[in-house]
Parts: sequence; structure tokens; C-alpha cells
Amino acid sequence: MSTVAPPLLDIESLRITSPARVLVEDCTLSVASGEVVGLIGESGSGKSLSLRAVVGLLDARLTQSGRISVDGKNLDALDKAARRRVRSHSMGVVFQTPRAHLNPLRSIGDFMTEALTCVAGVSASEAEVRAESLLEEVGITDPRRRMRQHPGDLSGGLLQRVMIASALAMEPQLLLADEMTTALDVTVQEEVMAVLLDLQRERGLGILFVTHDLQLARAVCDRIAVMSAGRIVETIPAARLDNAVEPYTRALVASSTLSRQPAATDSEAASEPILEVRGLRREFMVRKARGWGREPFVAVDGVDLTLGAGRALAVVGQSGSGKTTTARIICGLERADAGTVTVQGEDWSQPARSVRERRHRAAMAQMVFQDPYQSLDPRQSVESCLAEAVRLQEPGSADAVRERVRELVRSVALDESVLDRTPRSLSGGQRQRVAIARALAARPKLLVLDEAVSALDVTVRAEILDVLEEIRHDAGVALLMITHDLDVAERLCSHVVVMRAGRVIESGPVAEVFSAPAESYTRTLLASIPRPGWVPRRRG
Amino acid sequence: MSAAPSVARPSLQRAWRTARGGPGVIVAGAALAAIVASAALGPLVAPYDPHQPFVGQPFEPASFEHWLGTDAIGRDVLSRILAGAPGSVLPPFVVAVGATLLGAIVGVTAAWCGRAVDWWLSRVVDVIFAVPGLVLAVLAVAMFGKGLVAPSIALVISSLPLTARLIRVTARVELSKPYVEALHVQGTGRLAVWGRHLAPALAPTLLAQATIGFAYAMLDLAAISYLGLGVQPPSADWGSMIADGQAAILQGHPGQSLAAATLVLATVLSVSVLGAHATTWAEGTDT
Repeated sequence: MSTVAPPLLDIESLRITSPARVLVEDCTLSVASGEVVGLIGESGSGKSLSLRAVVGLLDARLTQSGRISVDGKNLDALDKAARRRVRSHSMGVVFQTPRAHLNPLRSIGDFMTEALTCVAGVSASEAEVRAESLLEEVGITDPRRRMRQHPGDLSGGLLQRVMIASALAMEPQLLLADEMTTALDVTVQEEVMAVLLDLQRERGLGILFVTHDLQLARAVCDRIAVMSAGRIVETIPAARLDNAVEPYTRALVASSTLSRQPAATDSEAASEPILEVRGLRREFMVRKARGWGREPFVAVDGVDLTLGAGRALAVVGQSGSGKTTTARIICGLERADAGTVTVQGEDWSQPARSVRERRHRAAMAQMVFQDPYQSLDPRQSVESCLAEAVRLQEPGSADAVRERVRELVRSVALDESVLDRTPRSLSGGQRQRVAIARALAARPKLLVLDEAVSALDVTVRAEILDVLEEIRHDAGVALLMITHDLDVAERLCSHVVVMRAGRVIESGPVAEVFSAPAESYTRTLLASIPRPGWVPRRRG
Repeated sequence: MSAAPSVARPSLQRAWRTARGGPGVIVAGAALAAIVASAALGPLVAPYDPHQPFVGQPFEPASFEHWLGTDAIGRDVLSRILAGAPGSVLPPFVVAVGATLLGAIVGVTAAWCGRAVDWWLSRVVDVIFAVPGLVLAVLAVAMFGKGLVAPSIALVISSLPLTARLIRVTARVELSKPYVEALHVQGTGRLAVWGRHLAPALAPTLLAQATIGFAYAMLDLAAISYLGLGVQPPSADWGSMIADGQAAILQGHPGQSLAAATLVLATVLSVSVLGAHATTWAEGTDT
């Protein structure tokens, strides 16, 4: 496999340091022409930093050393203007959040033609023609109309395609992708990945694919570099991931394939329902797509679901399917326009009117939110946060509260040393455990988890799911899992409800729904999850 | 428990280190301390009677007898600056504290009640906002006579909207955060949410607003006195001394105006520097 041509991208002994510590150490990586190289690792492992160093977008306070060569040209050996030229002509970048990288006040056409007219120096009319053909190439229909639209008019998936098209405007051979599908739904992710891989084959692009999603990386990459704590622990062909030697890689592989626990499939006689939702409906007034004025948007449209005491039910669906609104109505954060919510025989259809009633409901049902960074008061220590929750339900002596707080911390497998720390100094996983401990303070019978593990790294996610399973199994707490991640649903829940556009389109035992889905939408949803041997396809 | 003291010490030291800040903060702190001390003790330690003319020749330059020289009728400038210190520093302080407290009350009430109360309070605040503070202060003098009391009250009213709006919007942003929803689901009462969680969140904003308010009040009150509507002769504060010395500047004796103006500037600057520092410190104590 000796090639005469130098690799498209060659990083050697890259080291990035902040004044306080070393962030990336000895990062060596190369991408050959026509090759897709994955760079995977958990958040904070330094993978995005390494990519930013290649593009020249590092924060000015960070210092970098080592050698980065693009097309055989050492970037450090070039003067500023030449370096800029190499970067603008030989590489394209696609970031995680396209919306943040597009000026909302300027049209897609402006954005697409800017690089062509400013950098490549082609005329405005020619740039327009080229932009149109680029948009067509990434599978955008009617590009002429799209170019007159603004970023706000396009969905996240379309915007990401626009980003890919613009990254290719200068005809680079190297594409750098930083978590480019992380913010997208699985079905949209599949479409975008299909577009990317088609382009890669047609143009023979070399791609550095940065992601935290190991399943996605192994499905689309030729080689995978695994990064941990600023170091590349190993670089191996994607096909050999299962036979990795490094313990860290093995751990990553193990936690990204969630094994289904037999405990979740207990099929005893139907237990007493703790939660019953019938015909739930909620409308929001939203701004019209065209012109002024507002129109009703039905977020939740006649949802029925039943959760047995001590059972786990998953509500799955894409963003905008109404699953979070349903959870919020159940917890009294949102009112229902129609339908009923019954929890242990009590009518909870409308939010509690008094603090007393709220506290009474709190003792029965609790909620864990998606973002552990925002669901804890940043100014409050873990101890005072938990103590506050305990005192609400069981006012007692200081000693009794302290004892209960320690019991809670242990129940979510946290060390007591976190007690006098504030959320800022805790990791995402630790914060989410604190949030779960706080929810358990009231000794609830029902825990509503709104995407509670989707913001977490895979290894942490696996640990939190273990904690949740233990809580369900040992304390008999029923779990209502709101999630877009079908793996999570399968790992923890016995029953599943599939939602789309505010409606329940399919429901039943997890094993049945996932192995023999009745609805085509469920089949699409299942097929778009990356897994070994997965090939992303464009769907009509 | 036994480990507590050994843990507490370094964190206390660290807290002190961060509280102490850089050289700019130390200079500002020393300057403000000197100004406050002169306001408190100045009139007592003034070397001459501030109102007594011809304790020296007119326009004497700085000397050992008269550290800052003398004015047009031979009064000792240092004595007049010291005598004017309480009247120059105290009213802006009262205005800043008053405006911040009242503004906080209005802002918190609007955010707490929401709906109609919020709407009406916001409109009233908008109307007050439309009237320039200095104009209101001059109007107050026209209605209630000269002196610093009427313009001070006018300034409290006119600088209240800024704090009120800021507190209202900060509280609403804080209220919309997921952790407040988490408290809601947990069954925490509204008073506890505000007292235990929102108050600490609002404190840095209030502190910052109070120091900015002090700076504006000091400048506005100096302007009032400069216009001859504040302190009446023979008494003087720094603003009226700047005005008083204006004619002398044309005659080539800028000493008095310069001394008074420097003090106004030094006070405003050191309060702003300390305020900014205290705000970042209050925000950052949880690191």
C-alpha cells in the first residue's frame, strides 16, 4: 500500500496547550485521498480541537506545536498568505450546527456565492450557476428557489447539505466534518450521510470525520482513530473495531452497543397502571410560515398511553413529534387542551393550582430533564440542592436530612465527595446523577425522563441506564422514557410508543415493535440507525 | 469534620486573593477609601474656615500654607474641597442605593406578577424612561426650590427604570431556565424559588447597576450644582466649585476647577472599577 503521492492531510505530533494544561498531546493522523478517517472520542477528548487546529480556528490563548501538512505542504513553513490560500483552496469544513454558521439575514444564495466571488474571483453570474449545480449535487431539489430563501426557511438537514455544498465550492480534495450529524434526527442523519458518501465516491474526497458516535463512524469510515484525554490511543481499520486491543477502545465499543437486559422483559401479568393518558391534545399558536399572524399548531394530537406500576415505557420519535410536550403535560409544566392524565387514580389533566397540590404530586411523579447543565441551579452545592428536595417532602432534623442526602447520593452511585461541589465542577454524567438523585428524594412512584441520557457520552450513558434499571428493579419506580434513541428504549423498556407529528402511530412490547414493525415509519426509523454493515440510503 | 479547617483555609485564602484583585482594583480601593475618609472627617480637619475670604491672597498657587492654593477671593481651596466632600459624595450614594432598591422592587414585582401588572408597570417605567434625568432634576428644583434634596429625589425616580427593566428581564431569563422548572416539579414554593435561587442570581446585576447608578448620579448632581441649582453659596460642593472656578480658568488660574473635577472623576472611576470587580467576584464565587 505504498503510494507516491503524499497524504491529503498529515498531522504529526500535534500538541495543543492552554496556559493551564495540555489539551492534545502527540496527535498523529493522516488522511489519504479517497479515504474516510474517523476521529472518535468522548466530549472533551480533544478531537474537535485537533480539527480546529488544522483549519486554523484555535482560540488565540491556546498554543500549538507539531507539524500539519496539507497536500504535502507544511502549513508552518508557509507565510500567512500562502497558508490562507492552502486552507481556502484545499479543504472544506462542515460543523455541527449549520444554523450557527449561517447569517440568518442573508439568503442561501448569498452564502453560496460568497466564497466563489471573493476567493475564487469568478463573476457573480457564474458563481450563481456554480452554486446551483453544487446544491443540486447535494440533492437539494429546486436549488434556484432555495437560493432565494433564508436559513430560517430550511430544516436542519437541508442546511447541513447547504454547508456541505459550500464546503465543496472551492473544489477541495479534503473535507473536515466536525460532529456534522450530531444535531440531526436519525432519519435525516442517514440522508445527509448518504449525500456525503456519494460525493466522496464521485469526487474521491478524503474526509476526516469527527464524531462521538462510534456506530456511525464504524459504518462510514475506512479507518478509525480513537482519542481519549487528548491522546490518540489507537488507529485501526473500522472493520477490526471488534477485535481492538486497547482497553479504552474495547470499553467504548462495549458501551456503544447496549445489551438488552433480561430484567427489562419481565412479562408477568399486567400490573396496576400507574399512569394513564387518554386522548391528550395540545395546540400552540405559532407564527405563520408566510406573512404575519399566527396559526394553531397541534403538538400533541390524541395521545393514549398506559404505564404499569414498576414498568418502563419508552416514547420514541423524532424532534417535533410531540413526545416532550406529552411529558411536560404529565408533569404539570404545560396544560392540556383536551384529554385526561390519570396518575394512580387521580386526575392530573391540568397543572396543579396550589403549592400543596404540587408537592402532593411531586411525591408521586418526578421528572429528569435533558440538559444536566441547565437543570441544576449553578449557584447551589449538590448537598444543598438535595437537602432542599428532601426537606420539601420529609421535613426533619438536620441530621436526618443529611443522612437521607447521603443515601440518595449512594443510590445513584456517586461519591460523597461531590456533596460540597457546585454543578460547574461536575461532569455531565455526575450532574445527571445528581438530577436523578434529586428526583428520587421525593420517593416517587413514577419517573419521567425527558431525553435524560441523550446529552451524555456513550460510556456515561450506559452507566446512567444501569442506575435507572436498578432504581426500577429495586425500588419499583415506573419509568417513562422520552427518547429519540431507539437503543436506549430497547435497553431499558418493555413497552414502546412510537410518535410522529403529535400522534401515536404504533405501540406495543419493545420486542414485537422493533422486530416486526407494522408501520412503514417505524421501519424507516429502525433502518436509519447506524450499526455494523449499515449503508446510508437516500429516501424519497 | 476534622478535615474541615485544613480545607477551609486555602479556600479562604483563595477567596481573598480573588477578592483582592489586581493593581487597578487596589488603587481604586485606596482612592475611594481616601475620598470616603475625607468626606467623613474632612470638615473637621480642614486647615482653614472654608467660607472665610482672604485667608491668603487671591489666586495663590499651591504652597505649604495653602496646599491647593486659594480662589478668587482668597479662600483656601483645600478647606473648601474638604468641606464640600460630604455634600458631593453622600447624595449620589443615597440616589444610587435608592434607585437600585426601588428599581429592584419594581422589576421583581413585574416579573413575579406577570400579565397585567407586568404590562402596566412596564409602561409606567417606559414613560419615566422617556424623561431625561437632568431635565427632571431641574424641574424639581423649579418646583421645590434650590438645594440637593429635590434633584436627588428626581434622580432616584429617573434612574429607577434602568434597574427595573434590567432586573425584570434578568429575572424572567432566570425563571425560564430548566432548573426553575425542575424546582417546580419538585414542589418548591414560589417564595423559596425566588428567595433561595433567584435572589443570588440577581445580586451581581444589582451590584453592577448600583455602581453605574452612583457614577451617573454623581455626574448629574455635579451638573446641577454646576448650574447653580444645588448647594447655595457660600457653601460649596465639587460641582459648584468647578463652576465657580470657570472664570478663573480664563484668567489663567485653573487650580480650583481642576482640583474639584479631578475628585469627581477619581470618585466615579474608583467606584466603577470596584463595582465591576465586585460583580465579577460575586458571579464567580462558585468556581
